[in-house]
Amino acid sequence: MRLSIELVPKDPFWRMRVYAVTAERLGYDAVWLSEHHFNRSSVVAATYLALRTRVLRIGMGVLNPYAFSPALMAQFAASLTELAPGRVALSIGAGDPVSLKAMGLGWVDPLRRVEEAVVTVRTLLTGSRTEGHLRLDFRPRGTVPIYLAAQGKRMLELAGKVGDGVLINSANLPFLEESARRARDAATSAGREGFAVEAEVLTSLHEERAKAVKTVKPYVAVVLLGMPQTWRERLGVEEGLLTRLSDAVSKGDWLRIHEVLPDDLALALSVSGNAADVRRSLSELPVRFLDGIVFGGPLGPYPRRAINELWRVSSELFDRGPRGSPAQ
Amino acid sequence: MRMDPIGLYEAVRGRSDFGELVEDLLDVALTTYNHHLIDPGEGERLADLYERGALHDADGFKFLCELAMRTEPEKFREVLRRRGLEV
Repeated sequence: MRLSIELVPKDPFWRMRVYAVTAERLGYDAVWLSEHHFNRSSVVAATYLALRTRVLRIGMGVLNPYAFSPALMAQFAASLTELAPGRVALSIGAGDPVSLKAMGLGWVDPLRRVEEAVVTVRTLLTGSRTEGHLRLDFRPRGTVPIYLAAQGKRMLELAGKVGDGVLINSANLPFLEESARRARDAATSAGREGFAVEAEVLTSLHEERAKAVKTVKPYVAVVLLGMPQTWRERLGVEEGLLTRLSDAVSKGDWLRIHEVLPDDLALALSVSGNAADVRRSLSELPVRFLDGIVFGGPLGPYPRRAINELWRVSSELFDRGPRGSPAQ
Repeated sequence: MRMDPIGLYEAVRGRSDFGELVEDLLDVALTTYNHHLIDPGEGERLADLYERGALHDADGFKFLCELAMRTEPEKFREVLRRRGLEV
């Protein structure tokens, strides 16, 4: 079981360095840098951390094909491999329509756009030219696995069809198991050996459960708003709640989110609580369908402590020894 | 007992909870919303000290105290107060 963390570049780079170095020393496999236009650039953050780490895999993204052309994605990834040979991964997804609209970008035909992006990026990274004569005049150092970020049924199937792996953004058990099965089945049908299914779970760990839940709520709100409608219906999320959350998120009114979002919904969509709560939640994940877990979101009110504690809990639960040991 | 950061270091470095004190002060710097008060060069220095395990040294501890005191004076004092210390 691969164990990784996601860092959100809302923090200054030096803080991300402290977190990444902590994760690397403990034995985590990767750090993923999330991309939001209002935060620091994930590409710059990835570059910085590539220079500040030695063995940790650096995951770029999720990048979307509206804000980043596939040629640029391939250029970023290939360039990064010169700084971190063999330890770069890329994740491509459809992006968030609300954020894209704010950037003046449309959100048309996401399945087709993501598939084209994956095919183009892979073509360029393997040293070939596209039909449109795109090319890279330098070769990446090592292979760059291309993950798709997926939640909806068709995107999960696309991930299995064309991706090297999938990042499923959900901590909800039924959704996660269904999604993992769907992507895995699609990969098997497409004959994609080595296809990796990783769950990206919003995580918040703190000895006081209430503080952990409070910290994760803004992240849950954002995920909830971007979630497939069918999932929201199954969770019993009412339109009125969505409207209030959407308003609070667009205004960055985090206090309002704490008031509006019920605790049980935050818990249903995240791995949150004290160490015992987190251990219990992780033990319930459908691990037979998973190759990895990416601890995402806030991690906790004190991220460095949470990174340490998450490693203690999860490495024991999944029988992970120090980096390079047979148990890994 | 009231003291400056160097006096503080001398007073606490031999204590069994010195490591916890350093961790608590580091978390003050890592979680403050006032991180704009730490310039990127200072942040890099803090990360360097952390990476080298040098926050437990006199210079590293003093620097950590300076950043915590500058960004979160109340939290800084509270971390010390919990250990019967004052600056």
